[in-house]
Amino acid sequence: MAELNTRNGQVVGSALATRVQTGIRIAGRGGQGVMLAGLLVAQAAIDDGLEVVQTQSYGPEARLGAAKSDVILSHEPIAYPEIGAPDLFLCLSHDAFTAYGHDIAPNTRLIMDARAARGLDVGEAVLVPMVDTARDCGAIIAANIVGLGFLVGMTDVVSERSLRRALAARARPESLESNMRALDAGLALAAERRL
Amino acid sequence: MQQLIQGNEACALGAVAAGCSFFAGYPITPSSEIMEWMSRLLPPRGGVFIQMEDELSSMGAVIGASWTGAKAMTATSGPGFTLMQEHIGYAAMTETPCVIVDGQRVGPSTGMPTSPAQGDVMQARWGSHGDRAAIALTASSVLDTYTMTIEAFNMSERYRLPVVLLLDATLAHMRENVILPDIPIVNRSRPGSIDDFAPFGSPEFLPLGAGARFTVSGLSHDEAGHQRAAKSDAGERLTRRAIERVAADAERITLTRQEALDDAELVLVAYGITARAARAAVHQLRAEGIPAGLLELQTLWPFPAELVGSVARNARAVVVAELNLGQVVTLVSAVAGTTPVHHLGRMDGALLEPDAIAAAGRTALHDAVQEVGAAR
Repeated sequence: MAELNTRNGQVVGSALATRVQTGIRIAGRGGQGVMLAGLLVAQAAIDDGLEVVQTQSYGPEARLGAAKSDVILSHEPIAYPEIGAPDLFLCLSHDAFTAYGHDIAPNTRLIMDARAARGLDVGEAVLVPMVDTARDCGAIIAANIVGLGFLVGMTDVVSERSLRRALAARARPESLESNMRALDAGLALAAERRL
Repeated sequence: MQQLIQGNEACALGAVAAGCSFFAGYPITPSSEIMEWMSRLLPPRGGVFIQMEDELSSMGAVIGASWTGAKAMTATSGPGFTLMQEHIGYAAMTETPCVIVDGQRVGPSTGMPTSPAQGDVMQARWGSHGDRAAIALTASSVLDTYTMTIEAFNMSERYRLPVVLLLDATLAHMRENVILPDIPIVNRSRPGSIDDFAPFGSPEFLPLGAGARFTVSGLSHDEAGHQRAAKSDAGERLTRRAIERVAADAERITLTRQEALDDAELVLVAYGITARAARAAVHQLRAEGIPAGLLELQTLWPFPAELVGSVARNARAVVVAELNLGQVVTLVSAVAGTTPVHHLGRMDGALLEPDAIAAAGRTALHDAVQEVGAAR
């Protein structure tokens, strides 16, 4: 496990901590919770003492078909609010890869749902069974949280503690338990890969 | 405390912090969340929220509410802003303090509802017929949206006129971490006595129902509110006085952000969301050793001609970046003297990117240097 850094007395991610700015894209089908996932990353990053800008697809496209939420995390004030080529791309659906995959650059780290990646040329993507794992956790709708757990487990882009706090604050009380299970499952999948 | 807040939410929070107690509007992308937030925020605070049947009536309701003494606002986007112009003129004619927020999207007409633009700059100044005093502000961040909403209310109260805040679709919907600051609030001044009180032509405002009888009319009128609708200098006198109130305080009203201008040979002029790309471009250019600076205009009307002129004339080249096909650039060109002014604009729904602005800047400076060389 990479060593954790601190800033203003709080733990911040280490894997990308040497970078001034990190652009994260979370994309999926409308209804898969990509907006919530973006808000959770943004809220966790604020708790970690980082600057954030969050933008998202809006309107009809966010309700049907592909939708995305982009988050910029930075140690400095953020000038331009769009991410261009994402550093990290968490992709939950086939459609979302088709819609937003063109922004992928050579240095983009793509983390993709294993089932959604079938039949696509996803290069060196890290394939993760997000939807299947969420189903095993008792809430297929929590695939976004599995993915988020994996992303954070792999990259430490925000601290696990802040992410848990953000999830506890945003999730509906009746779904908090299944969401936390999904988060743990995502973190566990990341831990397996890191061994 | 750091909070994650959306631009439209910051606007609503700013309005409430400024003392706004009345909102009337008609939903339109990308400003609808302002309305949604006002519908949640106002009633518990004793305020009034009304969803109107259209934008004409929205602006009418805002003016009526203001005449009861309430701080009132509406929020819309380009198509609705166009519909409001007649009543914005009425607010100017009747010296009615109020705030109009325009979340700009691509036009003309229905255009691109979810895509950002900065095409309403001239409409904010000249959209209603005739001459009038006007103030229009912009914002380039979520924090800015909060503070400039409060500024808009403060200026509308201080100068007794409709104030426009120009946002855009990107800023309206993006979220940033902010700590909301405490900002002093201005309330409209009231006359000491209602005897011999003139209801028009001064910043002193007496709401309807306070004991004085007078007419509030869109017809030209004199200081007492008596209609002077034919061959009278009263209308011009009052309009000139309103314009003069703003002009006399221009220094306080025209807000700017200046970055790295001291030794700048290349000056980028931008406002609103585009100022952020321009700032990133200045950082890029400086890193390359090109002496670039940024003049961000937070107030567009009244246009800070003197400041822009002196900054431009001290530079070798100016690039105006804006999400339209050439609006503020016409104002900059008019005061830049012999300094070449270039325009970088688009209205395809995308933002201007830092790379594009930096490239335009490099070219502009290069051309200016070549030209001087050729002249020698």
